[in-house]
Amino acid sequence: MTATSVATGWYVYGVVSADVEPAVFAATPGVDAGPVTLVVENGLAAIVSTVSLEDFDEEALRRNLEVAEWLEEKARAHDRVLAAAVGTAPLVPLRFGTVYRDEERVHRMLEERRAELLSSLERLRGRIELGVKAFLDRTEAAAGDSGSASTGREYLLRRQQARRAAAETSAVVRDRARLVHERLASISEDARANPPQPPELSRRRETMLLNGAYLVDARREELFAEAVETLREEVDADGIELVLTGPWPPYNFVERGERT
Amino acid sequence: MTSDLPLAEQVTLIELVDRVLNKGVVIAGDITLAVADVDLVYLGLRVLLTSVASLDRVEEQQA
Repeated sequence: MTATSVATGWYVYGVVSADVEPAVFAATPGVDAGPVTLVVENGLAAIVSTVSLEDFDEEALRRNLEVAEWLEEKARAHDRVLAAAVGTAPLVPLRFGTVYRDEERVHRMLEERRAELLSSLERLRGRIELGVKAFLDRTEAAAGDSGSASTGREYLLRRQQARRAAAETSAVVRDRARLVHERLASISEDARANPPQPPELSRRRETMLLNGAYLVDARREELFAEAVETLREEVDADGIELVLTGPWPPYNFVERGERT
Repeated sequence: MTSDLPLAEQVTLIELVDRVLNKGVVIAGDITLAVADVDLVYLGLRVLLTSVASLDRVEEQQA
């Protein structure tokens, strides 16, 4: 490489302990379609691939993030690489878009962050992240609402009744959703209730009541799924639907770290 | 921002963006996404998805 070829960066997906089998990533191309490799430093390994800085320097990245197709392709690639390690080794996911200008600086990051990374890996060892969302199925309420009113007064009255009914329902179902979260948290090592997504982001007509993430002992994954199934039957009568996702890399259970 | 992605896949795109861009350890690289950039991504997706949602409604009403 010549001194002028500054166009390559080292994209870092996450950090694993260095005893991970590099073959784990063999079948998973990186965000720039190139091979995924490990940069090893004293027992820690950064999961990396080289990227063109034409796509990934600050300016380009900001521009590219506005293109949904680009974002989707790269975000999926980032997640696929990390997902390949799930279940094989403890893993600390890094936020999308962390890039170093040369390999030496990746080594230095591992060295500087060593204590913090080791303690995170130890905490995450043998654990997986699962997601559970609860949605309120409002289809019946909506059907009642859409009937045609013959007069304006009748229409307003109906709207008012619907609003009142919705407020009463919502207190009950919110309690149920909280209970779901508490029950799942009680069989998890750690739990987060993230803010529910508004309908335009969840792309579902139903109101999201719970957006939970759970750190679960990998050996208890099936037990957790059974608990979700039991809860599903319990809350079905309240019109609440539960959606289980994962296992995910433990995105929700690492320190956010420094703000930029 | 435009997209021809099937709607079902956009659900997972949001799920993915929520985790990949909004969570995970923030370690300052030589290049690192700023929090403001992530907020802009959300804003962009929200505008995109809101407009798709209104389009859905128009189509439903016409159907």
